[in-house]
Amino acid sequence: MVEINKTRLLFFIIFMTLMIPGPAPPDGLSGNGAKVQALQQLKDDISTSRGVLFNSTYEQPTGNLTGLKLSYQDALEHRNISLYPFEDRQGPYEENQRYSILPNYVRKLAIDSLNSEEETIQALEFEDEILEHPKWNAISEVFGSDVNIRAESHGAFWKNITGSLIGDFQRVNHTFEHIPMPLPPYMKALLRSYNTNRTEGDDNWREPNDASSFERDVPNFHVDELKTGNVTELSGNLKVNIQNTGDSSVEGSNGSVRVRLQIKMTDIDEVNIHSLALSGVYHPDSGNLIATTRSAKYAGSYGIPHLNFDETHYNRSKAAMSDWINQTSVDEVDVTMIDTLLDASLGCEMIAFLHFNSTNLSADEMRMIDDELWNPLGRPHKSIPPIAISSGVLYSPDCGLLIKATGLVGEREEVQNKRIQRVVLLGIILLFAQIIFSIKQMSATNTPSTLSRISFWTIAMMNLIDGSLSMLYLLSSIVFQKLYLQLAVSSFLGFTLASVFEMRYMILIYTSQMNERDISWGVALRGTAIDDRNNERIDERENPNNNVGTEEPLLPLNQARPQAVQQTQQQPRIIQDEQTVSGQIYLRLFFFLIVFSFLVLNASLWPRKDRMVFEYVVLLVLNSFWVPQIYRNTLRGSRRSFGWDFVIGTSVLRVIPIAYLCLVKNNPFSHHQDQLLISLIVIWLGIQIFVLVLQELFGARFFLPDRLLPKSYDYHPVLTAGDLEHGFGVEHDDEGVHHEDGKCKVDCAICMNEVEIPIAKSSEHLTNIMNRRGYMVTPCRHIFHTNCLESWMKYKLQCPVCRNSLPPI
Amino acid sequence: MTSVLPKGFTMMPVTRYLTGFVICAPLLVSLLGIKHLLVLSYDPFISSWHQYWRFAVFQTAFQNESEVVVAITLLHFALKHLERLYGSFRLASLLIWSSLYNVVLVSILSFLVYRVLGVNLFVSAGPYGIFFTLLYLYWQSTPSIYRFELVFSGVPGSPNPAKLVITDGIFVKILMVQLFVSDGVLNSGIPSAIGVAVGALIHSHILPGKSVDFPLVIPFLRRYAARKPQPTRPTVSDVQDESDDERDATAFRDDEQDTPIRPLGTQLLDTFRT
Repeated sequence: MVEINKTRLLFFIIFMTLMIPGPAPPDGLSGNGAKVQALQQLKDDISTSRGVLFNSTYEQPTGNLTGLKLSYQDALEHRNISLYPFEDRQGPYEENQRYSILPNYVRKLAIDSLNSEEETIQALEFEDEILEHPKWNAISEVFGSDVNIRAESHGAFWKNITGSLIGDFQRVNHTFEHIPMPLPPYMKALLRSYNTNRTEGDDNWREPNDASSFERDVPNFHVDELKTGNVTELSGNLKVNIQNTGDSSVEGSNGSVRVRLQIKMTDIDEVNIHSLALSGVYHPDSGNLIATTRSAKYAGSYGIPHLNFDETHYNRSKAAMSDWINQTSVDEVDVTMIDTLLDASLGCEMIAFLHFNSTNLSADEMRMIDDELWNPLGRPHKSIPPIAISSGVLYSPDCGLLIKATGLVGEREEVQNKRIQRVVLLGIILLFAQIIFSIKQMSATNTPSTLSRISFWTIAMMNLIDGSLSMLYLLSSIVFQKLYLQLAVSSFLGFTLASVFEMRYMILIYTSQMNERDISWGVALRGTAIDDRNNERIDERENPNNNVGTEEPLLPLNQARPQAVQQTQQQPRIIQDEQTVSGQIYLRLFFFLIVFSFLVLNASLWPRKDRMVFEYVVLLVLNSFWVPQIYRNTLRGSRRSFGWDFVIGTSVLRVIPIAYLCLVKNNPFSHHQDQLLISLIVIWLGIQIFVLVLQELFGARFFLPDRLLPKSYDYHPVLTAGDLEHGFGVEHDDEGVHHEDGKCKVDCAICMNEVEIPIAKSSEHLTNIMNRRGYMVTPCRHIFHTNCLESWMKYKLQCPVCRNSLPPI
Repeated sequence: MTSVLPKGFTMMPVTRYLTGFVICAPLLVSLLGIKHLLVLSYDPFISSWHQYWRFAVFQTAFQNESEVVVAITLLHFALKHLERLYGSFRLASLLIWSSLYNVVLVSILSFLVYRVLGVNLFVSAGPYGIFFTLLYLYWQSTPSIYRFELVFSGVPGSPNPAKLVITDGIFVKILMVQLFVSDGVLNSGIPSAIGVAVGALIHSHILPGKSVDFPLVIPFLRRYAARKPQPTRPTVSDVQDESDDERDATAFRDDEQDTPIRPLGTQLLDTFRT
């Protein structure tokens, strides 16, 4: 009953962890006056910002938006933000750093990169001035000094750019002037109330860019390095997730849509990860995308129109952004928004200018592809081109960073999903094949004798792999809604394989091996051979105390020593029935399954080096599932265990997915190519299978030195003429026995046909082991055909002639 | 429905495979995510995209599970009858003939309706036509076994109570109507009506099918029939009566060579028998 309660407890715990959501969201509205006040002011702030966006025109300078009050020129001149609005900036808006937070050189780089295919934006007039910038050398090292506009004719641009792109980034090795972006006063007040309420230990709400708060603990630069988005590496990997969220048919937008971006910048070793959320506008007529972050200190998304460099694009962006903003009411803003914005304000702000390459297809062909991806009907279309960004500029106004994005390539989300779907379907076929192999193996070994040869741990390892695979499939079926069906089927098949078939097999094996006494290597190898009484004497000499309890031979041998039996019987033994056993096995397995699955999930987020070490260790350990079987074969001295179809089939089926991940470039899981890993695994599995083959051919202990060998009973002994004269199972009437040229013919009592036995002249003259495989001699000295006795021993370990018990093969 | 039919699919291989196909095909189609390839309408698939293969594939799988359920019920309770009546060979030929006739008639009809009337026909995916051909033949060959009356008393103003006379075929008819309208009266109704027409033409021997074997299918089926009948395993009830010794003897007989060939399904179930 105890076990059942434990099981229940475990399931209860799992259930609770799965069902109960994390800590309840902080209910800021009860008893926290500061937060209520801040929320009200945030709402006011948002409606003001919206008003600025709706009412602005291209001619007016950037309005009264949080974080956008100071231009780059103001920052250079160290103007005080409290003096806003500045009188000298009332005139019509001009495209330079006097009016905008973009420095002139960033403006030039952005325009160059947006114009890289066709001149859609008018170039700057003051280029010479920029070239004299003191840091222009550092910039042009990364970005290249000459601009070449590809003027040749090109096809249409993507209308919908939802997808994920992978490429590299390079940072200009220089920190530019920071534009101060203080938090608005109501947010500062809120932070102050947070800090007074908290103990010093978890004071993680620091006011960004506020020197007074840094003085207390850490030096300024240290904090800067830890900031999200403050990229310290000169180059690394860049991943961009793009999602079209807007409606492209908004009046006045001319097809421009609002998009959401998730930018992830990591160094090569993936130690520092910078994730930023941006939103902006994509112009499908020119393939240009302009996006910014948004936080409590920077209302970037309201200032997007002015980042577009000219009036046409200004108006389109304004229409697209206004339409999107109008979809939510200011009243819907709630307390969580405050925390999100404050969280975001801890990091660096970022402005992105990306140019998507045109495709080589016409507008009609692209429309066909877009329609087909949106609503598949089987339309005839050209092969779907990739989404690629030839050049892009990322600029952080408050951290003074300038980053170049290069070589970003990806696929449309739907295309990517289709590829993953194909891989999952292939996985379903593999799982199905594995189930069939398992069923065949189980029905081939359904007797206690055959079951007792099979290693419990081999199946347990496979079960762990299949079970955690099923768990991971189940989890991902929740995450990837688009592939729910395929993933759920995979998960179901994996579950069937792991916890129905393999689990059932494990329980059968466990119950059939339950009565074996504990044995260790040494004991097994020193164990008494059935027909060799000398060994017993040796044992006693070696071990005068005669600690028999640990020296038990493996399985019921026919000459069990009486005192040993007595001793073992005295030991208290828990009698387990099958239900208890299955309960225990289920409990342990599910525990390991859950722990292992979470470990794997967690490991996928580790830095690259740790992850690779983990991958090598786990894959090599998990792919050594034949090792326990080899061990068991050696221990028991049995030659056969699993069917060869199962051994080969299982090994191949389990290598295929790893081979796919390691060998196929651009696989949808973005696993790097790794020939070393796959060859290691293949070689390692090959060695294991080779050892199994050798064990079958030359006996389970062929690799052990001779002096350790004669311990288990040898069913194929060398028979000499002397043996036969001593009545070796042979009736000594001359009718049944024929001596012919070193050979002897005896009747097999099972099939009643003749067994041919090669007879050695003397005990030194050994006959070839392969010749001796034809017959078997029992400890009670009866001779049978190998096939006959082996098939009999599947059912009973008892001599068919005299009912003495037989040691298992 | 009738109680004279044998239980399950005993000696009815074609019906068994047809049932398996009707269930598995939609599962496979949605697993592969190619449901949209089975949709058929004249415009734009045929007229502008020239996807003539859609005529060949639109009958393979139903799109919704309710249609599968109704079709399987009809197969199991009514159409099973046809295999006993015609025999497996002829039912198999009939299935192939009727699917071909349905494809041809549906394509001609949708072409004519689009060209002459200017109406774009949308044809539901699924073997509606085949099922209604078989159902027509079923009705032609099945007499009703019993009839019963529903008597409604108390219709005001009339002296005699209203009566409704119903035969035992009503249950199949209800299911037929359900299948007929399952995807909209027009969408699934048109292929179903064509199926009925094909059935009538076959029944009246205007189109070959009922008595003519389909050339390709026969050699395949002969091979199937020529296979050695499978030895039956002792069932659980047989084993229970045996004494221990007898069971040992059975086990001993069960040598590797003598082990009867067990299909995968049996092996699967056997893993749970101790």
